[in-house]
Amino acid sequence: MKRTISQALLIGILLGTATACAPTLGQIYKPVDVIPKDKALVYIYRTSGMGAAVYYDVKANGRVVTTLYSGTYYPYITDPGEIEFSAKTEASDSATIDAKAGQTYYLKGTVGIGFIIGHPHLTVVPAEEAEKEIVECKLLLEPKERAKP
Amino acid sequence: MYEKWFRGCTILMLFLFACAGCSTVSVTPNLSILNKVSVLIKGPIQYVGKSEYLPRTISEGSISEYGLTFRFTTTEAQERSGWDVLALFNPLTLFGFPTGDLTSTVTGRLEILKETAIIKSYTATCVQKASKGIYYGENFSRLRRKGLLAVRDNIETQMSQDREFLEKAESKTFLQ
Repeated sequence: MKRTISQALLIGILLGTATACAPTLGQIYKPVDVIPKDKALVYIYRTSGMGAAVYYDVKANGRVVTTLYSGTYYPYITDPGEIEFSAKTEASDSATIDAKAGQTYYLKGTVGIGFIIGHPHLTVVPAEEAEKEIVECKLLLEPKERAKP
Repeated sequence: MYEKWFRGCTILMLFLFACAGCSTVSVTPNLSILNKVSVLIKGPIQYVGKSEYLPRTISEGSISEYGLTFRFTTTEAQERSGWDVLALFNPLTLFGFPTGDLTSTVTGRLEILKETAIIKSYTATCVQKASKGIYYGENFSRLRRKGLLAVRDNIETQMSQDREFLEKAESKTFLQ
């Protein structure tokens, strides 16, 4: 009896963890219609590929913006200025964008080889390259939107 | 016998790591950095960005009667190459063998305008290449910063070599 309960508990914990890790995704890539006045837009995206099980938080000047999963994107609307985007697993990486008002930028996340867990890689990519890759990515919803029924 | 073989292999590995793990910086045009930088010319500056990346040979000032203004722009391109699949099966990866390269190209351009005409421009480009392994590596934020400072220093040297021209540019008779 005890064994059955502990097994059920273990399965429950595992399922709960799996659900907690899985992101709630929105629709496939759709460009932001209008960039708000005096703001810049940064698409943070990650195509499907190596290290699909690895995910990491992307921070902008030290503040978490989104958690980036394989095959997802997040449109980050920000004030203009120098923004250092960073990500960390067992190693960290960063890339800086000098955002100008009304402009769109693309920050690509990937996962490279690591000792125990894959390393996050962040690269600013040109629009012509990013626009081809981002079309297959799904929107990462903001935390409050994820909670909606 | 085995000792010799082991020593040979170690030297070869160290040599390979040294070659593969190098980072390179090249700035064009190839000029030495100034020890002391002084303001050579003043006027209104059109530049959006951090002031530390702006050449220190120019200084913000009100528009003079000669109408000189400055426009400073920078661009950056990042490239990442990796051989992660190969690295996954390469036992040397665990000993620090590189798993990829980062290449950052930063370009800065300073234009001196007299009213609307560009009378002089200075351009500098800094290309940096750095290797990345599982225990070490550069990131694009650091490379960008180093590149912007290198470009700034280079433009300062170019301007100091052009001192005579810049003095003339501030005179009334220039372009008249």
